[in-house]
Amino acid sequence: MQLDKTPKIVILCNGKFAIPAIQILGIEKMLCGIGVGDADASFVSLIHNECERAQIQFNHFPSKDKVSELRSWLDKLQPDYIFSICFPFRVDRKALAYRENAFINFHTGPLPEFRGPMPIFEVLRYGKEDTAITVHYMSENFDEGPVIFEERIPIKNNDTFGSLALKLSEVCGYTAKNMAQMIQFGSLIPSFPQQDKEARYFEYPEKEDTQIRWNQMSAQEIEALIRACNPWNTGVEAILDNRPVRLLSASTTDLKHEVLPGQCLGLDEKRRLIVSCKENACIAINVLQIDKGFCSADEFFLSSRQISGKNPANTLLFSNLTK
Amino acid sequence: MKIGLLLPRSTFYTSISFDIFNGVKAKLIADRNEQIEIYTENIGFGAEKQVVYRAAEQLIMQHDTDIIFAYISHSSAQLLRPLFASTNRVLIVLDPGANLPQEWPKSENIVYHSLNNALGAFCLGDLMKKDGIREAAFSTGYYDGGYLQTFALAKGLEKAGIQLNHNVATGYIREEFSMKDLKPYLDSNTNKALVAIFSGDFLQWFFQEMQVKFPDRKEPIYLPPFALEESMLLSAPYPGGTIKGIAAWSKNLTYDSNLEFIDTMKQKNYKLNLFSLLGWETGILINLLKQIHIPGEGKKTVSTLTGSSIETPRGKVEFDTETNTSYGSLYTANIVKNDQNNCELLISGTLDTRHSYSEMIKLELENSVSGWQNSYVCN
Repeated sequence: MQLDKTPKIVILCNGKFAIPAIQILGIEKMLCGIGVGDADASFVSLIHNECERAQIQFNHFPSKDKVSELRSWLDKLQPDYIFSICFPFRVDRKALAYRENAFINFHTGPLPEFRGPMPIFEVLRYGKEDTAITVHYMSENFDEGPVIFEERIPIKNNDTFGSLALKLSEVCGYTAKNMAQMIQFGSLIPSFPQQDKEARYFEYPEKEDTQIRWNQMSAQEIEALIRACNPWNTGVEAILDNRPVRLLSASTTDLKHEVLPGQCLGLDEKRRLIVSCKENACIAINVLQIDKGFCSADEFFLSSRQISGKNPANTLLFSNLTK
Repeated sequence: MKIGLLLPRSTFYTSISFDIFNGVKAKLIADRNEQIEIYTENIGFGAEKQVVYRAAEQLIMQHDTDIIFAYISHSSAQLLRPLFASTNRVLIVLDPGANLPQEWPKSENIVYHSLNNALGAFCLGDLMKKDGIREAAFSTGYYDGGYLQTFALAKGLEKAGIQLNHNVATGYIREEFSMKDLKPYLDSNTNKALVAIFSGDFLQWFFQEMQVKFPDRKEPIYLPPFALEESMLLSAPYPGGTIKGIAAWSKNLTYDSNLEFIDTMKQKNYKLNLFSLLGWETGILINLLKQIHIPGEGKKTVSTLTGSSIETPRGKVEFDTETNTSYGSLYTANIVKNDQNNCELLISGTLDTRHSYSEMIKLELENSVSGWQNSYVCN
């Protein structure tokens, strides 16, 4: 479909991740409407106000039921395309029938390997070296439509969920512009079906997915999980001497041990809390959240010593949470 | 293997498309690669997104080309990203290198083969520092100054501790082109210099202005690669005094590859300039791609190409894995007077640019943006 004019686009979104795309398409005068899902009230209000100021149509879809009104809204607006950027609800058949291939999703991970609502968490948890914004046509099932193109982004070994989401959000902004220009100038949009045999669908992480199992997970897996949970889950959950704590930042280390996994071994020269992991490896914890708040490993270690009157090294033990 | 070429127009390099194409053709014949099918599309000045996009689309959809070489800007290449990503073809941007790499991450389907003009501008600071220069005036025009080579130049001078304390921006039609505002600066003090960025006709006008307005100038002039383009220098009046700079290439380089290029082009009566050189280097790349490219596997080809190097008439050119952009040696040079009282280029030394390149790509652009859609000299 060759437009020969600036395309009219509706963005369906659910949070600040979509802001660069909204800004770029807004500057290009391509936006005709923004629909927001069950986002927090401050985001809904921000987008509502900006839409009023820029004379762009706004709609709020706070629940699955409200999405049934999407089709009538589109019929009124008559956009050329609808870009979905982290919109949380399934778009129903009636809305998808607005026009064939009018809905384009900007998925925040590689497809078909990382289908599901939290691919940023999954790629970090699995220690992937890169991820992608994958642009694909939407179908009735989540993340299954033909892929138009993907924009790959390397993952640095210190990337957290937060830092990677920020990068992907920026990339999503100009990827949306690229897609819009492809719509505007291309006589057809090439796409290819996803290879279903490589497909994996990951549900939204459950509590167990964000907990450390010291006797099962390697030091690398624990470190990756901590980064994958920071900041959206305020780190990973762990039980230390029967008290819940959260670990927000950690590094792998070359240190070795000969004790059971989960044992606090003391502070290293960088004042990090060294904990034994499986296969004699260790992990160095930098930041924790305990009852009194966030603290460095050093502060935590000293306060533990003051409370118990004993050296916490070799006495504090992380419990194994089993899945 | 089918190859596509997106070729531009230029007002002052009127034969730019022919020169690039002749360079490609000459190298393919020299390498007995005549069987390779080449399809070309004209993209005008390369400033209209629609024209560039549709030309590229036509080469892919209609002619099924695997690899497209295009003399286009960074912004046009960005426009084509999704097309090449979704079809998994290879886009090799023939890049004058006048703009700095933008904040866009590298694309898995795009490689920039560069003439490193901004890199040459960045290196001028070190050259001037060696000559004992401590302060400089800078002159450019509305057109040449619109590319981020100006930013690279300013940062190179800053790195070398050279103060840039007088700027003259001139208009870019002949009646408005003037260097009179340099008058307060050019007072024959020592340790001062004039650095300028002009290309094509503008360079000739610049030299005419310097010749007429400052015939007794003592300050040396320093110029980046495109100002040292030999075919244009031949028609530029020699303005007197010391004129130095950094060149990307010269007919006088003694590499075997350069001798082959010059001999072949002369035999065929083709022009020798930076554009036929770029065409010739395209032929070299085609020869390499013939060995590594698998149709429909553009990402793999790009991945193999980056990190590799080619021997060219301007020496070894390497493809940087971080930016997917090539960089080669640059050459310090002097401009001297020839028999017709015009300019001639004399190469004086070789610069290993590896370190400077890695420094330049780390520059924070500090919100500097080039608004030009067209590639350098396509106006």
